[in-house]
Amino acid sequence: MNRIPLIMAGVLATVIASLFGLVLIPDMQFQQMQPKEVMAADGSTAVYPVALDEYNEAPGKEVYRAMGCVYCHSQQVRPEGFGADIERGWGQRRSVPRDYVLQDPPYLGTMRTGPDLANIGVRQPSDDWHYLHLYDPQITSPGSVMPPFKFLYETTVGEKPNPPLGSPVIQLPESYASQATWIVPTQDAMNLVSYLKSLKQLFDVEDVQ
Amino acid sequence: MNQPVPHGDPRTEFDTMDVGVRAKIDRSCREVVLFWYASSVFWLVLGSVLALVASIKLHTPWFMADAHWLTFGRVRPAHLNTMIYGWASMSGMGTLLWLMARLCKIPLPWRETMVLAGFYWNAMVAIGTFQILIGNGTSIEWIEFPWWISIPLGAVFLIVIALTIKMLRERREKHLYVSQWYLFGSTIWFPFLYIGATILIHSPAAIGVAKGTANWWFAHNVLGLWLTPIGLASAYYFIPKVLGRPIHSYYLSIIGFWTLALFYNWAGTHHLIGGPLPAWLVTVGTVGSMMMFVPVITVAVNHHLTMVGNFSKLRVSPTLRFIVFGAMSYTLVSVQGSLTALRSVNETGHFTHYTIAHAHLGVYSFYTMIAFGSMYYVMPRLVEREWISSRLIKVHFWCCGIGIAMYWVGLSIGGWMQGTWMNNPDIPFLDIVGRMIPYLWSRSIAGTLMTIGHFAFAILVWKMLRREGEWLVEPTLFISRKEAAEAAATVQPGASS
Amino acid sequence: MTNTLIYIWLVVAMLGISSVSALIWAITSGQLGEFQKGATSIFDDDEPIGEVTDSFPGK
Repeated sequence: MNRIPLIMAGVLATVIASLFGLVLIPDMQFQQMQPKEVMAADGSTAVYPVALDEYNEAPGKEVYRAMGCVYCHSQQVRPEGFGADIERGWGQRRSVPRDYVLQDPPYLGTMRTGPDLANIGVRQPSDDWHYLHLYDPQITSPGSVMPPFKFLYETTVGEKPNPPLGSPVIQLPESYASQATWIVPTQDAMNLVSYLKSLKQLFDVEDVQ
Repeated sequence: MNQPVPHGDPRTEFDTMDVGVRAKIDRSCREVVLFWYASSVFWLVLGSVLALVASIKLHTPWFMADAHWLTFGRVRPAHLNTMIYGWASMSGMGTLLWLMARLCKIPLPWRETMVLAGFYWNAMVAIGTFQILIGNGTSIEWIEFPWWISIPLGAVFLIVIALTIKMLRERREKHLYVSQWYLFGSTIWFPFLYIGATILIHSPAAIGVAKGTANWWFAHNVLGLWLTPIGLASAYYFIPKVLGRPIHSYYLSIIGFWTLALFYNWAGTHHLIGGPLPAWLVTVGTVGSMMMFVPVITVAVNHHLTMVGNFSKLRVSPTLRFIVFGAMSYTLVSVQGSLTALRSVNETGHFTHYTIAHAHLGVYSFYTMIAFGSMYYVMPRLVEREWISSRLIKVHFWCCGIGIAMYWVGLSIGGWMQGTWMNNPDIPFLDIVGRMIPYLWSRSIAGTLMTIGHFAFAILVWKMLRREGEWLVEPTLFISRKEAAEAAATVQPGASS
Repeated sequence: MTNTLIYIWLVVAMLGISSVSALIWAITSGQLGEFQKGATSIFDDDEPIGEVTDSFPGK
């Protein structure tokens, strides 16, 4: 074990081999997985998966990234019989590679300090719920350890404000704020909520494999 | 210097390293290694503060909640990156350079370049961390620095590889010691991994879930092929060196090295068990993880048989204490890791605080404790002074040792419960969150203890850099022990050499 | 999918064959001899085998 070139060759060979095995070869499989037409239960067809729209959902994904949501939330539903993801209502089916082919990158996550979000768009379609939850999670989920994101809002106490067209105004519940308090989400908050509402893993497993 | 080696003498054919040569080598390393070491301690302290902020936020979410740059999703990756690329990598680089010089038995070349590289590295880590805090992090675990930071950071290693090859070719010791294989391997593996992963994540070279496997191919390998080799290289050198006993079986060392290189590479997908991956890919990760028993047991046996009969020396040597603590942790964390790659264990442990505990058992209990031990040995020989206080060293050891034990026990139990409850759909999620709070508090307390230890260490390092310790009477000086003993009677502390 | 499987088996075969060849070559060309000499290379006259080289300050 005294020959440098040999050690170097062995060192490189081992890491190149794993690069191929764990990344490049699977990638070849995924490159062949383009969005495909899928038939829904009611007979209609749709293309799946669909890319994020560039005006709200894609910028919203950037907010998800910039706030580091991935460090507490996963976006992957485990198979039936392995954990209780489906029983918890986190998805109708397990996640498959095709769900993520258009995600650049996918935020699969490795921590569930908070619940899995792969299907949050199905589970929680209400804008207002999201806006209140994001403002201060204690409003909708008492005891949550998710941080408040009040800095993504304009807060007004007293008179209901008049925001630009298209901006929602939400009143905080009386149990939370003694005085009448209104929150208006910033564009970042609105985009983030659009992104969250887009998170849906649809159709049956066999259709999307 | 060039004494003929007597017949039957197990030493090498080249120069036996006498005091003068060793002192010259240590002297050549002084500015470079001290710069990397001092920088690493800065990042250790900063990273510890970030860690505490993150830890507190997890059980007290309104803590500093108005500061958007400190939101958990930013302060957590800031902590990780300052610790890995600031503390761990810079301390590791210092040790790597010193070990290479000592083992090649030549003075360190390219010193100005390596000091510049140190400035550069500090700047990259600082800018990268700042980028994370202002919201430009990638949210890809372990690769959060923007690509325009991670590529230049990895590229510095081209210099390090060239330097290492130069030293190996000019060495005055024929035999490559086991530590050198690990160190050489790590200098090649790290840039390949970091630059490779950055390209895969940020370009169409990989799509969809392949970016996920690229992420974990990188993150797992940076642990096993950058940090682990430096940790093992240190243990393989300092345990025998402190004890005065050669490694028990050199033959085992070579098996350990190549099986690490071979199997560790394949374990990465165990971070994605149950995930949206082709089944064969997950299986490969589990198989690679189980095969890791081979190098881990090899190393454990080797270190243990070298230590056996000498555990009393733990009372005498700070280096040995930290390093043996670390080496034993290596065995523990690796066994735990292999087991956690089994689907049955993973089903409960995945996505929980249990994995965080496991991560810290590795990066802290194994790598960081060994790094402390290495620095305790090396710095006095560079500065030619003793450490200023035995008591502070013991404070450091016990605070960090007890701290990490508490951390690991608390979060492992909490995380396991978290996973068990999460797999029971009848338990509401928010209930589980509430039940975790005491365990998260225990982590903040443990982390505070560890941070106190780090401050003790920082004080020691600061004093060492200011040369406030006793004059070092050790063979590394340019005087023999006998002469030093005579000189010590007359020399004053603080006199320049 | 079959395409991928073919690649996988190719890689496995290549890895397996090269590892075994490397091992055979290493044994036959004497790379694995003279081991214990390497273990003692970190010692010398001044820091010989049998002598502890570290201690708490002041001890």
